[in-house]
Amino acid sequence: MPNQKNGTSAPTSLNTIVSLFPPAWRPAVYRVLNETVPGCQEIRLRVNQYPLFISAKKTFYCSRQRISQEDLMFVMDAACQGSLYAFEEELRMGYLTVAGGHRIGFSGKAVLNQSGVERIKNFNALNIRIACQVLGAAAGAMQYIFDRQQQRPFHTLIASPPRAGKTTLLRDIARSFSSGCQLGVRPFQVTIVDERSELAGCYQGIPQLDVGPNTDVLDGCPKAVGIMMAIRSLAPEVVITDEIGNPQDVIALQEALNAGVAVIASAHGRDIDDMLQRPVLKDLVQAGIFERYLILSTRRGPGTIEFIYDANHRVVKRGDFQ
Amino acid sequence: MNLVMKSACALIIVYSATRIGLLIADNYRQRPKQLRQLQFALQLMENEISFAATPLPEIWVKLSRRIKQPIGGIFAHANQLLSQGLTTTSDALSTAIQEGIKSTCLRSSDVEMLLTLAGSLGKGSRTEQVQCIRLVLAELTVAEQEAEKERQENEKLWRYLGFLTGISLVIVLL
Repeated sequence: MPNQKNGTSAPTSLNTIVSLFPPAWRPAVYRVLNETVPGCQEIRLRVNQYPLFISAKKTFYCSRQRISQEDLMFVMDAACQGSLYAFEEELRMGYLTVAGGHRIGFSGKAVLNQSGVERIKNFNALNIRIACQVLGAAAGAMQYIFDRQQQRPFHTLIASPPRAGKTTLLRDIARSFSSGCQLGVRPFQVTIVDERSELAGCYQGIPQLDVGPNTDVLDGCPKAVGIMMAIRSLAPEVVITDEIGNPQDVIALQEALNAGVAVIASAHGRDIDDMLQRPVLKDLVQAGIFERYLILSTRRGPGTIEFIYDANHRVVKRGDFQ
Repeated sequence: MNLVMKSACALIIVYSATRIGLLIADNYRQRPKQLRQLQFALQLMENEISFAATPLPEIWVKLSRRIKQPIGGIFAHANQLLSQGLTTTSDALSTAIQEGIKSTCLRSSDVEMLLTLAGSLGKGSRTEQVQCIRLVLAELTVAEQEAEKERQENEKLWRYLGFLTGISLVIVLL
């Protein structure tokens, strides 16, 4: 299978990461991101610990200095423009998206109110997830999730353990359907319901990553509500969403199927048997809603497709390609 | 010759004394004005924060456009410092206040108030921010009333005092 990765959108967006750090840290961080840990996916900053850089192949502690509370506050300040009040919703959810589509998750002291966590304060750790768009990540998979006879995408579920490239693949599938691709796929009207701002990496509502020219993004919208909203108001041909797993999601997905909208979603799970163990996913899988299942692993780096199954869980293609 | 020299000196003395008097009077006149501008700035800031949750840098851009120099300049300067990316947001504002205050008629007590505000801006929730701003606004109102009173007492006084001191100096020296 040809590997059609066209590379990543690296240099400009790495600079936005570096500029989040205090000035004294920047040269070191720049060096690590460019030389020591290329393709870095995550930076973990914990108070009184060394910063940790994680890529698919490597974990690396930058032993320049331990992270202080001030360093952490500087990063948070840069991430939210010194205006915590403008990110109340994000502080409640525990993460925010910065320019470039990178996501910063944080932990600290939770402030509670009657309805749950009101916000998080006194941060003690940050996890910067670097948005890494791989243009062409879906090139290998497209022919298996597109129904050529009916000229429409199959209802597809992508499953894998964390960090195996579900989101990257999903994003590129969105881009490929939205812009059309060589396999005779015409451009489709795509809606991304991006509950966690990961697929499109919206910053102030504008997608920071390339999700295609015919794509609408419902940013930060709960999946179940968002899918229904999209069907009613945006008239999509394809709905794409990340990490399904709630009972409400399932109802919304069924609604989408009834409306004749193709659904492409992802979920945590090692394989079909694993998903059959999980309460909500079990119903979805057994109902035979999805026509294709893509199972990913990290065996050959993130985004390795292990198996492609059809609706009856028969193997369509034994993978090992990217 | 002697007379010409003497009258020239006398003129210079009277002129400079008058200028000094006018400067001091102007200081008394400007202070309440600038305190009112500051109040206006903080009210705008409060509105932006409580209704639109606008991030501080954007608010400062608006303030620097809407508020006259030298107060508006403080916010423009803060934004400039921030865009260099070397300081945190509240540090940028603090530095801008400390540097910008030299070209205003504000006093160290006013600066103290503003610095307290700069230290707490952006650190809390919307309601906390609004509370902080209102507190400083209340203090500013008091300061403004006092400044206005001082202006009424002193502005005219200094305007004439300078001229009269100049004249009396000349008389004594003659």
